Amino acid sequence: MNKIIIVDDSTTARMVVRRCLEIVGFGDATFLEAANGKEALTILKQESVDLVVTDLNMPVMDGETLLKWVKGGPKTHDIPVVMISSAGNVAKEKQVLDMGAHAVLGKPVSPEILRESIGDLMESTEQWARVEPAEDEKEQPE
Amino acid sequence: MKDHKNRLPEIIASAVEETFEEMVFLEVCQVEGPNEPSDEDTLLRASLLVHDPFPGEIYFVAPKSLINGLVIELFSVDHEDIVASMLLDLQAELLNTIAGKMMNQMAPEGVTFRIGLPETETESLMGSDGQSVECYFDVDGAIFTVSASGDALIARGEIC
Repeated sequence: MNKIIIVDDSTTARMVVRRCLEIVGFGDATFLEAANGKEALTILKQESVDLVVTDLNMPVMDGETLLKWVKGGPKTHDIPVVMISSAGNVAKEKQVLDMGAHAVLGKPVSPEILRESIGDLMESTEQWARVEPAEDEKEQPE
Repeated sequence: MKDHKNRLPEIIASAVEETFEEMVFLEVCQVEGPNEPSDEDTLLRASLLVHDPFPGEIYFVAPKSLINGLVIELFSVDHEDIVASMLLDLQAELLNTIAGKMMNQMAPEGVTFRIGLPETETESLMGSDGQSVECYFDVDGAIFTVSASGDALIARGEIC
């Protein structure tokens, strides 16, 4: 089963991201949550995770530092990392993409934006199980 | 006093309307006049610092009953299961998103901007010194305020 870790200091933001992922088709995934990069690293040492979705701006350890650790770790460097930022900052986005982030999304995240940014992961990464679209995402007969 | 055309109220309104629509699926309407909360309604206050490139502060003041209702809708919880941290967290996240959207409109292309983490308070946040731009909004009959202070931030509203 796919494991996704959502990292954000806001429980509201984590819930919104989780709901979007469920709508996109990850309803069967196991969701892990962390309030900052440090907590996420602790979880990543114990769990095998398939995707990291993290906020950029967090206390204790921010998303950029978390990304650096994930991409620098021998066991974690292949895990795709999607960054979420309330500050649509082109220079910062380029910086984290150069550091290995898979995508940078603006807040608030929507299912459409998430689908665009991780749809290629679902298609290209063998570790992802094939997932059916959620019921409300299926086309309704006319 | 010179009457400058300042786009800041327009920028605040657009950021607030988009944020409420996208995060809590509610239509927000900008309204005139001071916010006069009912006596029994406690106000919840949140603030966020803008560090660069135009230092200032953005505030979000809303009736507790409004944030309470949003938490019930968003988290699908009963009223009795709501704890204070849920209210403050939702308010902070709304402000964080509003501020990001504002700065996206205000910062020159290619310029890095930096905002702080939202802070929630129980006491009044607005100082009596310095100018501020205040905007009032109505959502389902509840009035809330989003305002900005800081000379550099407000001045940017006049030229962007």
